[in-house]
Amino acid sequence: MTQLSKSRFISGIQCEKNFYFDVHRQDLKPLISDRQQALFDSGHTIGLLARQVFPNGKDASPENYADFSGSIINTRIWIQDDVQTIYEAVFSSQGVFAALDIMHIVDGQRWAIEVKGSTEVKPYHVADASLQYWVMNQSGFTPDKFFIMLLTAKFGAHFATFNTYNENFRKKFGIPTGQVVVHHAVEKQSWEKRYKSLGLTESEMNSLENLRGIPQDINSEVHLKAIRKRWNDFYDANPDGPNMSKQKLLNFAKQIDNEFGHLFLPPIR
Amino acid sequence: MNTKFILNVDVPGEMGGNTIIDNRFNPNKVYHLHLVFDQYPDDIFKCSPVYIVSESLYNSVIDLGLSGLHNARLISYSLNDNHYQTIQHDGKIPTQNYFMVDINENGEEDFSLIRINDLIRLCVSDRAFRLLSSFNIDNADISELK
Repeated sequence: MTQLSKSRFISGIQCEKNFYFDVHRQDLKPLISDRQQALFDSGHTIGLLARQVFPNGKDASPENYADFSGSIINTRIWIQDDVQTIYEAVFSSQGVFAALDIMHIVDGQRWAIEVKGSTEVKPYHVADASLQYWVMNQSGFTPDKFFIMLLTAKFGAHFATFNTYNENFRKKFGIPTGQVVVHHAVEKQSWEKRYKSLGLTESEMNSLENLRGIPQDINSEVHLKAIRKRWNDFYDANPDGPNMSKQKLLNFAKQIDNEFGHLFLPPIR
Repeated sequence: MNTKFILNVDVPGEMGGNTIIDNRFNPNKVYHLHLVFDQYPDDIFKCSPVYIVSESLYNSVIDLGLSGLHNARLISYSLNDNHYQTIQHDGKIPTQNYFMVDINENGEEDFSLIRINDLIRLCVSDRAFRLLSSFNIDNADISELK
């Protein structure tokens, strides 16, 4: 019996003729063009980016894409072992199989997350998710919630930028990964939203001069409970407008450094 | 006289790129708030100049007839993909609705704003504080109004 995969199902919804050739005349299928290959590659990259939102999961991707049996077995075992996050979880029922981008457990709830590189939910995304839901349901793993996660080009570019400044900071100061959380001294929201009139640039914001490393174990207390609240008081007193200046922002960042800089890594004061 | 409490509430994240803010007004007007969470938020928190409450807290406030939270508007939110998982070790992520609300400097209401040494703080009545204490306000600094 010919198995029905999710991608074959979606291709059938989009073009019946393509579906016919895919099932009955594989020999007539054209070779994959460079453009198609680039699309597949970008889909793979999008999947990998999305994993950074749900890190440290187990990957059930098959070694050989012609045989998903190992992936189906691994998925079942890992669900029974209460693994919190599984990438490419594969389910199968009644000759239909479907790989889910991310399965994630939150408060005992099973979340199914399908990742799409798009700025909006398209009808075929819903069809894709519906088949995924059906297969999961039929195989006894009904999701409590189903999400279609959209990643835009901006998201990818953002990661690229982030990785660059984060890495630059660690390299410059020889700090191993995971030891510090790298923050902006003048907060990112200042440049992106709050003080648009000041004309701050992304490169200024991500320059080494504006980056601070806060040790992970004190980040919550120091940055999120203390520094963030101080910045909020500053924003209350200094809304964007004619009385605001870049110098005021920099002076306040310096004030924060004076107060908390001895706790940073490397220390600022 | 009833006791009042001063709260310097949680600031769990930053304004995100989809926020619509108007700097022609002082304080700036926020027409839409997109919040990027660094960590799981308390049930009441701030992103200057607005205060935000969880839907469950807001519902309780309204059901109990408490005053001071006006003009509730739904916000959108996302997680800080750089930091959230590092900071929120238990993997808990927000899933409920959050509303930004207007709070006035009217001390007669259960929720009001007060200026202390030029800093704006949330001031709540005793009954509002008792309600808040049954929700998550772990990251707020709390003191009694003298």
